[in-house]
Amino acid sequence: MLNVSNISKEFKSGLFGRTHTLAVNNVSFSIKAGQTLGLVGMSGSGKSTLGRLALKLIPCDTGRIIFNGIEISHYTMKQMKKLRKEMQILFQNPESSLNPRMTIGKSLEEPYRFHDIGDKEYLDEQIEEQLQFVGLGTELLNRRPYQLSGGQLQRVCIARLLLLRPKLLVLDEPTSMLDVSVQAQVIEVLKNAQKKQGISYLFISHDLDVIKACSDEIAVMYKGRIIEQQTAEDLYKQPKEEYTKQLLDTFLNF
Amino acid sequence: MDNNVYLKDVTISFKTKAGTVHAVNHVDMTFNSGEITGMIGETGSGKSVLGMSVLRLLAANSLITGSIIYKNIDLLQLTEKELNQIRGKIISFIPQNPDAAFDPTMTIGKQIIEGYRYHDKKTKTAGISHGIGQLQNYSFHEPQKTFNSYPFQLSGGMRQRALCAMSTTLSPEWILADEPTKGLDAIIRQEVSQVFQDLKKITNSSIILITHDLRLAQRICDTVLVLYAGTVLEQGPAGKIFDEPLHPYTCGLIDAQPHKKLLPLSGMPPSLIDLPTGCKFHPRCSCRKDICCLTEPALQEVNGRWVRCWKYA
Repeated sequence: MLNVSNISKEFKSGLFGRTHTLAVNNVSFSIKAGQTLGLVGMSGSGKSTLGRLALKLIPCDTGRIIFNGIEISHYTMKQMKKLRKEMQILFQNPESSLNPRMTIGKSLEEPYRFHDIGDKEYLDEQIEEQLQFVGLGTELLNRRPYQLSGGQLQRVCIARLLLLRPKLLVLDEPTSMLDVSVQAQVIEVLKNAQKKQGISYLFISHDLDVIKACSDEIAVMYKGRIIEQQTAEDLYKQPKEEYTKQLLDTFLNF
Repeated sequence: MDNNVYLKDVTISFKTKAGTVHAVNHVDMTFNSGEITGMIGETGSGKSVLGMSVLRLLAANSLITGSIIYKNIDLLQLTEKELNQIRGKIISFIPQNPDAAFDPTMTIGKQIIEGYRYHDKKTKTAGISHGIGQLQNYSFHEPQKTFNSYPFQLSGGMRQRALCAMSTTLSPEWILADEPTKGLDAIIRQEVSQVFQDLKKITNSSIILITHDLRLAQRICDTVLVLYAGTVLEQGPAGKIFDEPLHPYTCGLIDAQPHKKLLPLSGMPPSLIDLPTGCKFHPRCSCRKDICCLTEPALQEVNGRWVRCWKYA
């Protein structure tokens, strides 16, 4: 589904761009259709940057990205528009992902209209179906984001993504701002969506429990590199790298 | 005279346009000194509101009834001026978000000694040396440098430690900490939990920890309080509550954790404006009986802890 090879990204900041930060350093990975690749690492290890690079939300300096058999590394933003509905991202903080001035209904319709997928009647039908799928009712459509709880908003965001029938979703810490019980609800919805629509996920999180529960394979990121990639079971049983061992120890013995 | 904080029939409500929000309902309990007491529950269960009410840090539209007794003084009856002598010095508060809690335009040092100089009327030099010593206590390797840094120059874990240093400059007897590990990664979370254990040792303080990080609560708390819709549903020693929870809600919270069953609780928390009759948890409870919908159970003592459920009545 997605094949990323040797991508790097360097950020320049400060006066005349004198400070260079190599956020992602020569990283390769691939995700199979309908599977989940978990990406763990500490804050600042480059997880989110890698997720955005894979979707071409930011351009990479070097490397190749192949999505569904098409090389997209050299695509312009205009060329990406056609593919965009198939590769989407779910952000950490649902409260800042939705426009506070738009009703939930308008927010749900917007990407659908942007990609010009179907007519109004079909859209209404779809919205109802997806809302039901994520466990919400249509009475929310006329409300605004501030009237909903964090878990409800995150589910609205998921419904909005599912409307586009994506093939690949980058989930950037989708539950780190939510309660345990709401977190379990959101993860359940994401798993069901994967089963139903066969979506591939790149699941970014620093919560090793969540990653373990959701991923088929797990990649560990440290200082801009993927230092280890294994199936979820093997990684927890026999981590190869010293850093992974430390990470697992710190987390699981907490 | 002991140093416990006694809450007697505390009820907190907020007047809003949509109606009266009943955030905390008739809470009767004691925070024992020398312990870390954890308050757990979902968002909107009244944890933060109950914690902040001890220092009367609530919004102007709030209405608190009942009494909060500390050393024979009712904290709810004090004037603002009297209360300022207690805030920070005897009972101090560690706010939720270290990114937002610091003033971004002031150095860490200036903010750390602000409270110290307000209460103890010390000179600036005395303040500075105290502040640097305080940073040293929280294992900053270069306290002098940190003292002169601005908040954005520190990492998340450092900011949390600096915040703890700021809130404990006057060695308060009680510390209220609101969600100290929200959104932090594993290593910083480990650091913060260490900070709290050190905090207890360094200052000899008693701590009230408001959190929904169940692992943190299990690790560092002595006593745990489970809140739901502003009511205490279960209360007792942390080990017992996490190993063999009694109340169906506590069981649900524990099972929802990713390393347990990752099983979501069914339904949503109730509206605090229009609370359910009887037991507040009954609409979501799997072991609901007829009586649960009608009458609210009282807190019962079962196996060395307190539970509010008809199952054990």
